Amino acid sequence: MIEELRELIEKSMREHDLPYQRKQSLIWGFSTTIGFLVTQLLFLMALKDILSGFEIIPLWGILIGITVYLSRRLAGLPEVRSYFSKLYSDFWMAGFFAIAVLILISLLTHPRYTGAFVAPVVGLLVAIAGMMFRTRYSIFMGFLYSASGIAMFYLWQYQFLIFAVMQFSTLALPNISALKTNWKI
Amino acid sequence: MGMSVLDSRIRVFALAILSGVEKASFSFLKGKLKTTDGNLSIHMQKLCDAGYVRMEKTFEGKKPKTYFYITDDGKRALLEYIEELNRSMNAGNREG
Repeated sequence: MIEELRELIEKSMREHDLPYQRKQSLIWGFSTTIGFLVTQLLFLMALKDILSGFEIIPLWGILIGITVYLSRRLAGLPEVRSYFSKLYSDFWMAGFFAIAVLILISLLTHPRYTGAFVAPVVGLLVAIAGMMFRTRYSIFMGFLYSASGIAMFYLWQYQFLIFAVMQFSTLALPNISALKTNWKI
Repeated sequence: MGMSVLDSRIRVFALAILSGVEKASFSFLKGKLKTTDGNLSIHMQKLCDAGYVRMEKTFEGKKPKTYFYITDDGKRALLEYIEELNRSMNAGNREG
């Protein structure tokens, strides 16, 4: 009985609602892929002096707003939130803050190479998340994401296209199976 | 009071699951404990009445959803229960 209880307590600390996580990842994967594709188009236009490039800021504001709404509306509420999942979301919050600071620094110093600065850090976060949840695919994609920074350095004109491909492959592609689950609330 | 509430295996296991999570839904606990809606409702109500568990009702769209959280009293009661089990096992081993 004691052994059973101990196992149950240890297991419950690592519990997470996988279908919910998959839905969330799929929604964020699709929306950020679309966001980066549109950003790429606007970026190419800005390079040709058709646009100023600042149109990207309200676009991402709207996109994140819609994504947050959709992820709450469609993915619903998680069945369980363990202390481990809480730690995981705190880790991502800290990660996003670090990325935001990094974007700001690179925009002020080497704006062309923002992608090359940011991708290795995003990749590292993805790999750590993969290690936390023991998913080999995420660990592999994390390192690939980091390595994509090299491609972003040389092909800086297409850095957002590379971001779109990486976001789709990391977040959306492995969670396509979530489309088969119930999305109605 | 503590021991009488925790004399049921389902209630002890429900507390053990809740001790590792921030919150868990009714359907999650039902799946983990492999029990029926009615049975689990009665057990969870007893844990709530004892102050070991806090219940929160919310809505997901139009569907109601019930979450359970373990309280500090609940954590304490579970620890005491495990200690008590340990003590009785050690005593049993000594006598044996």
